[in-house]
Amino acid sequence: MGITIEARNLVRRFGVFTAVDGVSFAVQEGEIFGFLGPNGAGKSTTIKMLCGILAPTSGELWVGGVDVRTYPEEAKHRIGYMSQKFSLYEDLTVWENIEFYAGIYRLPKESKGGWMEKMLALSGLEEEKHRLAGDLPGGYKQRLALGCALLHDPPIIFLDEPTAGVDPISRRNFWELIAQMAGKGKTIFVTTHYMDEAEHCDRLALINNGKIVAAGTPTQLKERQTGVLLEVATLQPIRAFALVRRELPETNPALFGSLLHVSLSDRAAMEERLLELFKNENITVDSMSAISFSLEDVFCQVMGPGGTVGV
Amino acid sequence: MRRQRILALVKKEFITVRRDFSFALNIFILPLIMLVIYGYGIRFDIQYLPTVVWDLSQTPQSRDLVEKFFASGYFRAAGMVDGYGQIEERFDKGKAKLALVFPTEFGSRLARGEKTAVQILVDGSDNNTATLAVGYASGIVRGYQADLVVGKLVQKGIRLPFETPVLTEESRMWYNPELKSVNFIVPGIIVVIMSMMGTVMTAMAIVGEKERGTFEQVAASPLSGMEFLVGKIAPYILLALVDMILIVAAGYLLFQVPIKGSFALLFLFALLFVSVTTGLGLWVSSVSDSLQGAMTLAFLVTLLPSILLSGFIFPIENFPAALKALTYLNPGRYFIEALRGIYLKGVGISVLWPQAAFLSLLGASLLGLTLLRFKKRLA
Repeated sequence: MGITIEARNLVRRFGVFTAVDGVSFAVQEGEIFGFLGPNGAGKSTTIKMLCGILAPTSGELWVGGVDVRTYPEEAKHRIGYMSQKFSLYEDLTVWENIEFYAGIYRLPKESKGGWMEKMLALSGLEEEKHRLAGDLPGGYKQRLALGCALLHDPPIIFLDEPTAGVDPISRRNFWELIAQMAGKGKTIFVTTHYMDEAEHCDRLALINNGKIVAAGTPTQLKERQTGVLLEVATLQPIRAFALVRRELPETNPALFGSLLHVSLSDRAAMEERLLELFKNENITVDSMSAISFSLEDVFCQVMGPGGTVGV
Repeated sequence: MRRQRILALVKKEFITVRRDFSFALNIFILPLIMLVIYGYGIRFDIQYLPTVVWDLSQTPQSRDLVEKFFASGYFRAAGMVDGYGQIEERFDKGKAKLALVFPTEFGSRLARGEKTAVQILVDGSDNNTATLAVGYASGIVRGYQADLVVGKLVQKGIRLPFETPVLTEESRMWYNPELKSVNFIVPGIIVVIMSMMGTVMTAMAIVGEKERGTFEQVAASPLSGMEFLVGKIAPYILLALVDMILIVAAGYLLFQVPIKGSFALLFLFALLFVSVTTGLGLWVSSVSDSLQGAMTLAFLVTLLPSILLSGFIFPIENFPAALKALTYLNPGRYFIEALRGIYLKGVGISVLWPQAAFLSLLGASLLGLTLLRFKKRLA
């Protein structure tokens, strides 16, 4: 197992705006590598540079052992790409889309038909073969896009928010497919902002404002958090959240349903302060207990106003 | 450049064209509609122009002249009127374009051999028709005058020293003997349709992929920029040529417009021209990011010059110098000259080589410039 995707000091500017600001990482062969970050953090820009769609302003990148900038065609043979927005032809049928990409990837005549049928089956779209792609529901579209991206059997797959706008059941099925691919030794680079999806990844990189702010396995990321996470149950969660954010921003308050999470570096000193705040503002606290960090907490920690680089 | 990839693109493009009704409309129906509208609608010549008469003299002389007008075929009777008010009303309603006014004394003065005049009023709002009408009308009046003079001499017993008329004219319209406007129009329509096909369709097909995001997926594949462009352009070049043949055939079947010269040469010029217009389409697609913008720009750079600055309707010879200079940059100008030469005069490449040379030059520089632009963008 070696490194199959590598970025060194990747930078992309759009005018005065720096979308990706000196990003470096390496992905092992056969890994599911998750790129986690809020909207506009630079996830899509990074993935587009890796796929050779967008030229980096500076920096180096290799995909499948090939320098993407010098040998784009070779690199592109080794990758399958699924963009965030459905980007197959809506006025073509399912089968015509598959046929089109079979031609673009120059699948050999003998095996072409077989592969096309296989991808149709993998997408579970046999019944929809002659339907226009534009008429398919969201989940089907995603599967067709994945099928077309895998048509040439690439060892590396890039998925840019593959399950955005897809219903929960389709999402689960989709991740089962991804797990299958990984089981076959394919390397998967996926961007997402769903925490449950991030848990499926072998390794994660958290990106914010174009910079990687944390990286590691999900467990490492959770364990690396210092201090104590308190879960506060209150009848006025929204007011409580606003209050803490105003008065104690360094605790990175976050709302999880009706529960408020705050992280305290020094529990003894901070808990007093917190309770006093609530009391002064007439916020009733039902319970307050220490819990272990979830990935979502890590995310809020790192991305929050008091977020520190936790690498 | 891989054949398999280009073929996949071409096939996909044809499926899209087949499914999109507006494409089909643009490709097959539009040329025919234009041909029929221009073919039947545009007349550079006048025929049976509705004419009213206000005859205050009511004499054989005035009736004679009126008869000569209607016998000419250029004018037809649209009724008698009584006063300028009525003439104006007929003009306003479009019921008459010309009016003849005979003064009370017209007949008697002519009989006495005194000077008189017939007033000819023309609706000048359509200046082309008006100019022609006045020309024909004064011709008829002059002819009538000559008849009067000869009649008077004969009446007085003077034998003319020569046969009358001694001088006649024998005019022939070369290349278009019946002066059929449609003969003139068909080449023009070929130019308009082919520039639309080449430029508007190509630009829209490429910008459409950018706007819908489908280009992104293709860009992540090993398809090269060159392959993409060739695969996208080829279908429209083909369709533009099909359109050209369609117009030639329809012109022949509907309006009996024959080709005097070689069809092969016509095809060759069409090929040259379409390479220029698709080059223009590529350029448009390289500078615009939305379909809206691309369409506006494409129409601006093709439709306007190909109709207004090509000599299709307005003769370039009459343009002011600055505008005339501009037409040298308009590929439609050369193509229309070549088409008219081949269509009407039946001339060959020995005459039309300058047009071929200019078209090639324009095409090569445009394609070269645009490919350079694309290379920079895709890199």
